Amino acid sequence: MTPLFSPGMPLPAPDAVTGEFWKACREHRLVVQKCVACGTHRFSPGPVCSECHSFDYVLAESRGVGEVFTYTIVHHVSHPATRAAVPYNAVVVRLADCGGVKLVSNLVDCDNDDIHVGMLVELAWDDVTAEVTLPRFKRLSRSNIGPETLK
Amino acid sequence: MAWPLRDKTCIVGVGETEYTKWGGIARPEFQLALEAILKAVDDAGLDIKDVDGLVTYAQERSEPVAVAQALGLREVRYAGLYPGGGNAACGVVHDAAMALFSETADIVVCYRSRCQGQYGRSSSGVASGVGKGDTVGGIFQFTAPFGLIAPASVYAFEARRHMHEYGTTSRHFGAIAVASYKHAQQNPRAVMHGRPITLEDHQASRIIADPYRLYDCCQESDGACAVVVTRADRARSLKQKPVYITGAALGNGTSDGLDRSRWPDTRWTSAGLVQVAESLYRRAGLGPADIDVAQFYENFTGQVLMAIEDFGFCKRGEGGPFIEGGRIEWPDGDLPLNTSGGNLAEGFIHGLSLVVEGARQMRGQSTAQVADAETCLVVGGPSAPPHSALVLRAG
Ligand SMILES: [Zn+2]
Repeated sequence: MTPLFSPGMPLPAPDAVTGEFWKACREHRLVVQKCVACGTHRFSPGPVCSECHSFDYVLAESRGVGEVFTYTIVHHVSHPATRAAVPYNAVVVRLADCGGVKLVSNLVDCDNDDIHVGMLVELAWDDVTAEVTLPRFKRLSRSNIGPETLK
Repeated sequence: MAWPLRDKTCIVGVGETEYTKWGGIARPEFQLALEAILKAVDDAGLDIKDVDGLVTYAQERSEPVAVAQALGLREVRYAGLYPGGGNAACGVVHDAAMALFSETADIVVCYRSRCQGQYGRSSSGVASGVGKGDTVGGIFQFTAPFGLIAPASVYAFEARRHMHEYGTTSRHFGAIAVASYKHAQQNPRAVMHGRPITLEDHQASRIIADPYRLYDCCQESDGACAVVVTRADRARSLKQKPVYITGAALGNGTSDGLDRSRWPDTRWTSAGLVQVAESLYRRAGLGPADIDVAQFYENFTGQVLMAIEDFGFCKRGEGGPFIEGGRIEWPDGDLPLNTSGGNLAEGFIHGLSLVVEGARQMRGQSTAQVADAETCLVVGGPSAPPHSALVLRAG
């Protein structure tokens, strides 16, 4: 994938709570915490279920299909590593599975003018360094659209 | 039962340094805090040595203990830091009212000082946890690597969602900027005094983070301001006409927080102030129809529009049409908004300047004075929990 941003762009600093999420990304798996006690999914990762307060969870793997919930096109250069990238998009994707959790990402291989709320998207893994992989998204391919896609 | 603190405390003094564009003041930021505090105490006709409480924002660099030591205060009996940044604008006054009502302290000063030329600008990523290192932790690890660094890009998400659901337009956002700039032309203290803008200027301004343009974003400033708060019984014998704190509320609703991923869908078309508005009106014994003038913290114009909806001045989704036609413009609008020019056009002192303007309106001393105004709503930074708001009443 063509790099979205220049070298030096801030990268995630995995910690005790978020490490397993980023490790799974490295393996091209998008995982979302699911409460063992009540089944509620949560993102971003955290130690406790806000619904039932159980600390027990499993990692559910998402199929990585979803829709654009909202978006922005950033023109302002707020970091040197974004200078060559502006104007670039940032989106909030609502996953079709995993309780419909939302995550911030970017759409790749897509004109900024084509982005709209409700647009169907799928994962496009971006191995930005030897250690870090970020979950970006692209327009959903027709071959992936079926009756089950948004269930 | 009425809220026990209703009308029990008053703002009795206000003060500020000059306000400039960021980088415009060479004096140390700490000195500006002291200057503003001394002016506010002088305005109240009190002796600085009698101040026994200090409250500021958690993000303030001039900490209460340093201020107290520098000014030689006799005794500090209350020192408070309200969590966060601009969201604290009214929270510091709420804190002062609690400290006074409980007789923890007798004279409390709330203050904020910012020299962005000396310490860095919000738009450079300081507000997003992005420092000089090449990694970012906490909740920002899920946003900054995707290019969400300046606050405008983050707040643009809600503006876009509101446009999608309700047909709100960039011109609606622009009407808020035009009103603030119009009011700043009355105010010689305003950074944008002498620089009015039209809706066409707004529409022609460069895009920062779509849908937000330059004039949708609060400016970045240098300056400091302060307010003095004391109990109503004492306030009545002081130099200035007392400004009653009729209602105060702070907090947020369930699942709100800085991690937007955790927000329920309805939170994305709101400024997160629904619960604070409900508490505030109940405590004040008033509703939106009773508000004569309002100061809404502008981080971004869309958040003001959504906050106007949160406070019930119109229904959800009707904020755009509501603000059209000059309704929020002094002197003829039904709800004059940000009568000093606000964060957009007076100065960005993290919103405490809006409390100062609210107090001036209630004293009849605003440069865009609303005739016969008896109540003023002041709303702290929207969409940045824990939120805060005040209802002030003329004494
Ligand atoms: Zn649970």
